[in-house]
Formats: sequence, structure tokens, C-alpha cells
Amino acid sequence: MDASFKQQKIINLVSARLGVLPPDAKISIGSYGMFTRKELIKHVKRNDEIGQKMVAVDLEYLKSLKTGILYA
Amino acid sequence: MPKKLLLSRPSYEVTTNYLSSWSEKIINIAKNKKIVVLDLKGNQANKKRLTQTIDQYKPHLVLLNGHGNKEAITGQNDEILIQAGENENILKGKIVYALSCETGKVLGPESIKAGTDVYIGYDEVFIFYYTKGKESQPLRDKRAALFLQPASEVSTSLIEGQSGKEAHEKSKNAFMLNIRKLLSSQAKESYLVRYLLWDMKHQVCLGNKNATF
Repeated sequence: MDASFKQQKIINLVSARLGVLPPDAKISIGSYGMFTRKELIKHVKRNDEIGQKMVAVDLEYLKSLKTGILYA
Repeated sequence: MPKKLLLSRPSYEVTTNYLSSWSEKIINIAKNKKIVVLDLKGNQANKKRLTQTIDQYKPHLVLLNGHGNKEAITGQNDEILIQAGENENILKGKIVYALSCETGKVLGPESIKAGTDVYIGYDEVFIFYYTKGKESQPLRDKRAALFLQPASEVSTSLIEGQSGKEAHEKSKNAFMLNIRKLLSSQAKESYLVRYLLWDMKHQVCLGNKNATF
């Protein structure tokens, strides 16, 4: 699997996961600002700085599941 | 001589309004313990006022709320209050908690080099969720409380006289408690777990971890 294909798969995965956020939930990401679910998904799909941050959050979470930290 | 704490809490948009409102809880706890609170609220959260207040009253505990980046923390309307390489020495000899993004990366370590006792902050963006429609009543927003209560645990623990290390650990435990509650109850809000975990993992405690207020 080449890097760009892998990256696209990650973006699709993170976008899908963000899609389940309730519509009344907004996120504050420090000085980046405040965002709705739809805005976040746009950023992830654009793969911009905010989108990359969201991907980093998800990947860190998925890694944590592997280590068992959440269920220790 | 009574203990003194300085608190900076700008308030000019949703994020800073939430942090400022949560600071009120901390102020009440401190006042009940007869601690002198130097409250730089809203427009008072500016560089000149901060510097003067630190010089004049020499508070041992400094609680900074607001936006930040690797090298700086800001006050009202994004005015830089403390910038690494410029004025981090004003934190010399102090116990500091910065509820802000990223300052644990550069400003925190530089402050420690300049003589800060202990610096607790975040080495990544601090994320929280809130509820549309609750912006005018931040303390009634249960979703935001899942993040801001554990984050405030650092301040309350320090005020209670616990060490930097204990305050840091207590806060992390409070984050983990909320994570476990969300996971175990199969709550609708379980999507928040990844963000709580992020904040918990990126809270750092630098310097003399045994320092107490």
C-alpha cells in the first residue's frame, strides 16, 4: 500500500468517525477556533493543519486501544 | 503573611469565556482558604498589568488561562503576556499552571531554565467539546465539564497544598475517571474519549515536581 493511498484511507476513517458526533456538539481547538462536526470533516478532507490535528488525535487514541491503557 | 495567587483569565470569545467561568470555581476555593486572589479578568489580562501585579504582590502561584502556542501565552484579545526568550523570567520562583495550548513545549521548559519552580501545562493543543446553545452558561454545560473539571483539578490541588506532581497526577486521574465513565456506561458521549485522552496525555509537569504552594 503506497503512502498516499494509506493516507487517504486514514482520512476516510477519521471523517467517518467524526460523522457520528452529535450536531449540537462543538469543539474548541485552542487558537485554531471552534468548529462544528461538518466543519471538522471539511478540514480533515482538505488535510490542512486542523484536519491533520484531528487525524493525530484519532491515531493516538487507536494506538492507546492497542496498549490497553483505557481498560487497565 | 497570607498566600497569594495570581490568575489571568481573558474573556472575549467562547473558549476564553469557558475558561474564565471555570476560574470562578477556583477563586471561590482559594478565597475560602483565605488566599489572596489577584484576579486579572477580561481587559485586565494584559501584559502591563500582569507584570506590575507580579512585581508588586509577588504571588507564589500563577494560574494562566487563555490561548497559547509553543512559545507564548496570551491574554485579552490575544495580547501576548509571556513570551519565551523575552519575559519568562517573571515566573522565577513560582508555581505555574497554564491552561492553554502547547506552552509545555517551549515556554514551559524555558521558564524552568529561568528559575520557575514548577510548570504544568500542555505540550499540544488543549481540546474541549461544548454544547451549542450553552455558550452563555458555561458552568451548566455538562459536556464541557468532562474536560474542564479534570483540567481545573491542577489548580484546586495546588491551592490545597499538594505538590506539582500530585496536582498533575490528580488531574490525569480525573481525566481517566471521565474516560472510564464514558466507556463503561456505553454513553452516547463516548466519542469524547479520544479528546479526553489527548488532553490527559499531553499535560506535562516540568521542574521541581515536589514544589508546593
